[in-house]
Amino acid sequence: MLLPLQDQRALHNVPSGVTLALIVALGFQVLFQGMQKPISAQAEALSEPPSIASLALTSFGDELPVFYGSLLWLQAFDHQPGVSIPYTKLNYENLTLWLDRIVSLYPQSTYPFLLASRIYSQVPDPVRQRHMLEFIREKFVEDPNGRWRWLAEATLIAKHRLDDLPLALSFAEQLASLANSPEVPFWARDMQLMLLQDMDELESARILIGGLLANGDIDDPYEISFLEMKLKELEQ
Amino acid sequence: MNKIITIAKYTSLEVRRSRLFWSLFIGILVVLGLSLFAGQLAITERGSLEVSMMAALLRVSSVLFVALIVITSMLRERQDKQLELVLSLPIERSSYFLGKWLGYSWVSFVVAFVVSLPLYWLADFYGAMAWSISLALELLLVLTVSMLFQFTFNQVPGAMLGVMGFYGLSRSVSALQLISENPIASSGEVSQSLMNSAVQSLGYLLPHLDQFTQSRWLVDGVSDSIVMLNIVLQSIIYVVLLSLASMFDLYRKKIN
Repeated sequence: MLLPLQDQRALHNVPSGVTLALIVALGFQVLFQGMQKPISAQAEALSEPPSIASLALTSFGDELPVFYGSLLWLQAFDHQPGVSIPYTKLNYENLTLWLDRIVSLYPQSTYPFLLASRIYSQVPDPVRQRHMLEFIREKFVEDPNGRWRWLAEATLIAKHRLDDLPLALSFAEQLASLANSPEVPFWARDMQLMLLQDMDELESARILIGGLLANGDIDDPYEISFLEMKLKELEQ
Repeated sequence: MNKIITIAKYTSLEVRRSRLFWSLFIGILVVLGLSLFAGQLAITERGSLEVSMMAALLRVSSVLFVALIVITSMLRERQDKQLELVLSLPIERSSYFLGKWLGYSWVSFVVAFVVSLPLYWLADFYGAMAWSISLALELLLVLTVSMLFQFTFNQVPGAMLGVMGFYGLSRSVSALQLISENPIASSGEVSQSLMNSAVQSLGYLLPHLDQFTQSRWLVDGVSDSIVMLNIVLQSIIYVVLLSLASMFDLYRKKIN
């Protein structure tokens, strides 16, 4: 079929029975598909993640592509073909388990924490929000100097979204006591003050994002534009 | 030595003339497109995501490419009775094997270099250099095992399945060892301890390819030079082992 034209014989060399059978077979295929039930979009629940061992096996010794592949899959889970699932319908226990397993594949990455603090914590459901904040706190304890920024974000969410000052203060206290590297800026270690002064959410976010940008903690242009977009949303 | 080099030259010439390299270029373009598309979905770390996806796809494509080239070219040679013709001349079977191996090695090095080019452009330079050297060594192992399986099975499906099985197992043997060492539910049964011993033995027999050609090097760089030394040593030991096994098989083959 893919031979050059000069290597092919004229059409009349094909027996008419073969041509006819080909057309009939094509017709049957179209008819068969036409008789099938129309495809309807069905939302699929987020199941438990595979174990760390299974993830390691499927990575064939190269974890990074599996890490990013799983993250993209999880990030797009609320947009399944033909149906969009609100975050309030997502199983946050399984979501946290997924994030936890993904972090274990490449702990240096900030991507899972960005999803946890800027996407999954924005759900208008205090139980789910607390679930996500607890995940951030747990992961912060594993690497306080590397993940201080995420606990700082969780602190502001606890204060302004959950309206839970004691929880925010406990986060800020943990941040001040565990994140003791000189690279952690003073404003992050003094977040308790920021919380006690009665700042609004926009003002606090400006300090946080402005501080991160000024300190050079964020250099990814896509993340900078994402944060700027979030800041604009708050300003409106 | 001259005979070996002549066979090597004709082997690499045959691959060049088969125009298979065009399919490699098309493969690289498809991988580039897919990785850039995946990058569009990222909120942050877009560069790392693109590079890691690209590297994994390029590695798998080049392994398949080299295995297919070696297996199909050797089978064609067998079917055209070229092997009989060459061995009817005053050429030792070991010289024939080494000539073919050298020719395919040259092709593998070219493949490793060509597929690494986009990574030199997109990733950390030293990381990309370590990645391409490691890929070249990984391909060297794949081509040698492809030759061995082609001598053994003498057909494409068997040899290709053998190579893929070997490659998959070698890439996951460390994970398998960890799983068998720490079972979720330890039953203490004989079958479990037998399986455990089998997996541990595989760990001794197979090269641990999971240490080779890591996408992480392209993002974080190679922090430990011992890793590279380990890869070079493992490649030398295993290529010699597989070559000797291939020669053993070739010397035993009845060629009429």
